[in-house]
Amino acid sequence: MTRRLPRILCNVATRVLPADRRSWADGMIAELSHADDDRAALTFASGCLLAALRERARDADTHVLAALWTIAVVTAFYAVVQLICAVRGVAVLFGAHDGMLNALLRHGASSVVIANYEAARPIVVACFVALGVAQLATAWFLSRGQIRAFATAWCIALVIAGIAVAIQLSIIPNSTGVPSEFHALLMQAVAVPALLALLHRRHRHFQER
Amino acid sequence: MVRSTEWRYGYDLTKEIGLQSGTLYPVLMRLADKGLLESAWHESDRPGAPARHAYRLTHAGVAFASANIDATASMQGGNKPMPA
Repeated sequence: MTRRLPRILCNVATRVLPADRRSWADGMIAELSHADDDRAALTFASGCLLAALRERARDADTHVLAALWTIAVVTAFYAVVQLICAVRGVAVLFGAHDGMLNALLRHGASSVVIANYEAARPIVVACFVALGVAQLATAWFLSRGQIRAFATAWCIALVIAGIAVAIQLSIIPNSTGVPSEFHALLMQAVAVPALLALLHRRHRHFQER
Repeated sequence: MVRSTEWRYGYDLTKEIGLQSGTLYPVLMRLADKGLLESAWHESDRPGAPARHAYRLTHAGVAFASANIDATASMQGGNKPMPA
């Protein structure tokens, strides 16, 4: 056996360790030359990689980044759902089967409600497209740590979701059992700021420790 | 504690203490963060080998270690079974 594998493990440990621990990583690599034999070097290097992973898991900046990415991924998931709805909406505009219309009929909607719904359909589809794009932008800016751009995209998405819910409520005041945009509005208005506030609190707590 | 002010190296410490490097290094990093451990680069005594990262307890570290050793000793003394 050569010292190649231990050296690779220590190099990986160097990359895994936070930047402010760089001297420790260099110290670990230097120690490899002093290991008694190849087996001891491998054991030592494996431990160094484990230590690097532990340090990375404790790093406050890594926690913040991971949390931002988690929120961004969830937001992106919602954006994809909105865009899928938009694609299906476009298909409906071109004559495909309309599940929403069926739901309204099942719930005994009047002909006036149906007529209003059909009239508002292009606007609702446009809302889906705009909301999907705005949420994708929100997720993108959040993952890049561009908080000002994120806040702008978040406000735009909130307004669009609000418009979508207002349109729905104006057409169908009693929406029990009918798919709603309310969850998107709720997520925009409450979930994202709540998660960011929690993240900010935890980050401050980390820094104060 | 006899050699507490000597410079020591990571690999040597794993052998002396019997701790794996995966456990030892995070402890050393914590101690350094709290100002209980200082580090420096020393030339290696092996020709061609890179400089080694050396560690030793600071004065605060020595005081901290002494206090912990005393506390542990007094706890162990207190737990000794009473003679029959």
